[in-house]
Amino acid sequence: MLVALRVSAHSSVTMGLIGASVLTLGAALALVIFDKMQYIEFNFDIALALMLFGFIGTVVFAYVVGGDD
Amino acid sequence: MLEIIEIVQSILIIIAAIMFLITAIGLTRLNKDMKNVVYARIHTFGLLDIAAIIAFIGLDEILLAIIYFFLAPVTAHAMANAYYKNEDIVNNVNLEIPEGEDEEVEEESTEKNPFVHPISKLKELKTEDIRDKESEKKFSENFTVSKLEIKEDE
Repeated sequence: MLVALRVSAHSSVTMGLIGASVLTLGAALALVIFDKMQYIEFNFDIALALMLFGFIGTVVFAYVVGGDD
Repeated sequence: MLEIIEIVQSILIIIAAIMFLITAIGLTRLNKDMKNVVYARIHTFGLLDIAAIIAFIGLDEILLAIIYFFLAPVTAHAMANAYYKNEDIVNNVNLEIPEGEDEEVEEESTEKNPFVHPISKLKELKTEDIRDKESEKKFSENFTVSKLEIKEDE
């Protein structure tokens, strides 16, 4: 996650996208691990939502940045 | 039987952790000035995606693993496509170089600020100096200078 933060600090828009995507994945993974450690069930739902909406956000942003084609 | 499954899960999580470490080290050691470095970073994050899928399987979350297995390549491709269409000046011929990057704005010395020296003129002066030194070297190689001393008594 630290590496993702470092990558997202670059000036390029795409590098920010990559960093945000990996940060989302890291957060989801951390939530699942926390779920297994503490037996809190709603962490799984949050991780699932993070992954799905993170994917949608990344693809939509890439579509907006990249153009209409 | 349960013990075997737990051992396999632990091994999967350890493999995922090693892959995470390899990805982090690779990303930090990647040369920034390399050509097509963004694509190389996206490719490196592909390893991270597979590591996350292995970790999800190891954590017994098969649904998340299957979902991410299908979503990760689409995300990577979308990001690479956005970079190619918007920012990749090296490979995309259709992209124009933004104004100001190819032309250097130079100040010239005026009466108000006479101490401003344009970089291009300084470079020209330096090249002239180097040429003068080289010509002096050539001259000294071709000719030798000898001094004749005459004493007053003679």
